[in-house]
Amino acid sequence: MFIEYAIGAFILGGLLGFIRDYKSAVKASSFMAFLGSLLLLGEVYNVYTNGPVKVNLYGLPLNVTDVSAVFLLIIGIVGTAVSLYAISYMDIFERTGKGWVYAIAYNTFLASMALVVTVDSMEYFVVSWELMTLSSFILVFFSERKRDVNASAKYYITMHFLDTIPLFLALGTAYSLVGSFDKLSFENIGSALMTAPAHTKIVFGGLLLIAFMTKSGITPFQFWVAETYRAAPSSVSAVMAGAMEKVALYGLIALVWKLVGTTYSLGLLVALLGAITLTVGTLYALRETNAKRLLAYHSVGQMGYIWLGIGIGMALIPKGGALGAIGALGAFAGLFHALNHAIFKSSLFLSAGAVEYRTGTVELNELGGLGKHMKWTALAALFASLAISGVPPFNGFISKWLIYVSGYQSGNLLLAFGAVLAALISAATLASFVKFYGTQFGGEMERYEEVREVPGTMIAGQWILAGLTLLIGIFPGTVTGVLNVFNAPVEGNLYKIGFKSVLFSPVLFVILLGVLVFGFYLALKPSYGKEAKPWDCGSTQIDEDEYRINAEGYYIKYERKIDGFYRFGDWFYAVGAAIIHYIVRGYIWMASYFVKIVDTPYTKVESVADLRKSEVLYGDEEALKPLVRFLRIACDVLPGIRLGTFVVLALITVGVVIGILMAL
Amino acid sequence: MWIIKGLRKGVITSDYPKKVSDDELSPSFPLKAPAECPFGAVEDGKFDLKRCISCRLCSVPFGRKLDVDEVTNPLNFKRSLHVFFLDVGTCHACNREVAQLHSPYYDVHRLGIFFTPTPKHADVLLVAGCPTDGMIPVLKEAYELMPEPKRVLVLGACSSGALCERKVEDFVPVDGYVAGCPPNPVQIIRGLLKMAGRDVE
Repeated sequence: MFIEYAIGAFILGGLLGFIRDYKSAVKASSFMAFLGSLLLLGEVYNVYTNGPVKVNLYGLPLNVTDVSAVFLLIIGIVGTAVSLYAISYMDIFERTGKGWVYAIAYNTFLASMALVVTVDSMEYFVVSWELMTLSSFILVFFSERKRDVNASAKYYITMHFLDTIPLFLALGTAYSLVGSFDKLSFENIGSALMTAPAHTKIVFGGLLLIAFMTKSGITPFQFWVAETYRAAPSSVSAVMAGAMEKVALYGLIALVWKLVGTTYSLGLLVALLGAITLTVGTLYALRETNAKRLLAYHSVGQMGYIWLGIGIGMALIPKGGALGAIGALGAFAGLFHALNHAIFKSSLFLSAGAVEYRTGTVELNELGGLGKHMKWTALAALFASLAISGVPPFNGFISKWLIYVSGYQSGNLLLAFGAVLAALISAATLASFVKFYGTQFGGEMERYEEVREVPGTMIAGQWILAGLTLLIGIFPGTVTGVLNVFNAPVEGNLYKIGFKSVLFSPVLFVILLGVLVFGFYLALKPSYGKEAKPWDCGSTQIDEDEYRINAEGYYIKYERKIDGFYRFGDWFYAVGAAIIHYIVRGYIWMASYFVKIVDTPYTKVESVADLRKSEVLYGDEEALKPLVRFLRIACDVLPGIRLGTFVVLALITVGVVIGILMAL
Repeated sequence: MWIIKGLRKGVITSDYPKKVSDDELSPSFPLKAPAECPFGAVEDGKFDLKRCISCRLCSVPFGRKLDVDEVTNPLNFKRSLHVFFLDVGTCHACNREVAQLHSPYYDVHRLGIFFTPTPKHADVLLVAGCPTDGMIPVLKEAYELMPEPKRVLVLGACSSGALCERKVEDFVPVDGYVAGCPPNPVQIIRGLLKMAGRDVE
């Protein structure tokens, strides 16, 4: 029953966008989104205590199962923190953005995600999915800069070809199986698929797999992620990285796994895709110098971890017995990592946004020394960085550990190799986040001496998430109850993490670590000598802010060692970009027949920028043009018409119309 | 094989500080002592080493070919020394002599003397030249940045006030000098070794 109110809050939030003032529209709609996300959390609690519920939401059939509850939890936590944060954050787009666009798109985005993970019908699933894509597309070009618009157009076209088309084909397949649009619930499709021939299953599953791979940025399709997340406002990037990618994971579990069914080889395929993705994404992130692009590639990498965990589950659960238990542990770890990733990745995007809010840039080469002035933001970023790198006692450690354990014990060479790769790449993640934290908050820079801490709601938004990384890390028992949908052999408080592993108590660890740190601090108390300037050979021309290692120079030697990998990837990227470019050209060629450039009629239209540069006339406007012209001429012919004359004429017209109607 | 042979044989270019050949020191022309030194090095019969520029017009420094330095406050290292060379306004003659120290002939590395790129790593600040307006703050800053214990050794006549009005002493405390215009590389090495507290003779 909470979910109706949540959707209602989102609708109200969208309507609040029609307040004329930009700031009040954005603040009110963000607050309504905050309330709606809180209500989603209430729904999770409801399902957790009372079991799955079926709701009829304004005619939409909803089925909130235990799997849906996990994803509602993710959307709820991310939505709550991000909406609270966005109340202040969205002020920086006051010049360029439009309040009502943000209000409607943002609330629709959250509501459509909540619908995707709860609807119980294939057609509504596809419709909500498209709504999610469309609203996120609108939010990506919210800043209206040229580079951002290009990024969002490419994002939408990628989604169109690799998401919409496969999903609609899958919908058609489901229709041909069931035979009626009224009965397209997942249950009916599942029972129809049981008796369907094998190739139908492969087509249905393959189409869905392509769609979900694209949305979660799995390797061949990871190209759209970085530029899209860079272009979007940071709060929207946080929701996209934190929640939208996880919705694709819901699709993988609820549609591919539960409906089509799983086999050993399908599980291996998913795990292999995950293992490749986590390597590619993280290694790409290592060389990025833009904070948001770095985080975007890391979210690709972390989705690889999650797919590896789910893949272990898909491969091993059908086997049953001891291996089945390990598989359930892997799937549980994948889900747990999905939740953890949602928490820390949104937190990191929010801290990048906080830095952007005060300094106006997210380019790591130009940042530095913010730790002194933005203490709370810096500490939140540190917590989230440690969590994503898998450092105990933060939450990322436990889920990563469970993925390693289930991979090692799976008895399959490929899965074990994936787990080893995951452990190795975790170190690369740490290296990358040393760069992320060190370049932004470490050192000192005169350029940012005047920077102040961000407003209270932004700090609150970051700290809800950063606090949760520590809370879940120390007391994993708070969420394992909701997450354990695969009946994995985990104990309530995860004291004994993993399977046949040694005893590890997060609480004891924290106490021990605290005592050690405090003891070391007392024993080796740091003493500070005199402060000295850097030696600049007596130069007076060099800016002192330049005396440091910038983000580009952190790992340049290591990047050169794997230069071949980067060049290979860049070649692929160039090919993909060329394909997308020609698709865009094709669309514009089609559009040029519906659009007429007004001021210089025979201009060649070659890119989106050409259309935006000059005043254009759409096809429907051209059809109405004679009428508009006639009215204008009429206005010119009858100048200075008196009010009395007008009223008489109007009365005569109305009388004639009524007379005609009466006669008929 | 060749390397081992070469190492075993050893090619000694300069015997200093064991002994000094006359070739390594500047030639002098032993004329009779003038009544009055044009540079003011001889006053009332007393010889002021600081003001002597080794012009070789007189025989006064002849007997003191090597002994042209005075170190008042040596370091008690007795081992290797890290030196930062700072040019505060030379005619570049001193720089050329200092650059000779790295050459294979003198090769100060064999004596454990190293030149550092920053004063933060240095024990001794080797200053040459007459301090100019632009370099005075740099000289002070370089002295500030050096870690304790630190010493300043000045090179040549101009930095010790023989030829121009300013001298290095006015800005940073000076602990020793090597006279000459310019001082010979061997003389500079001797001054540095004395500064390190290593007895040369």
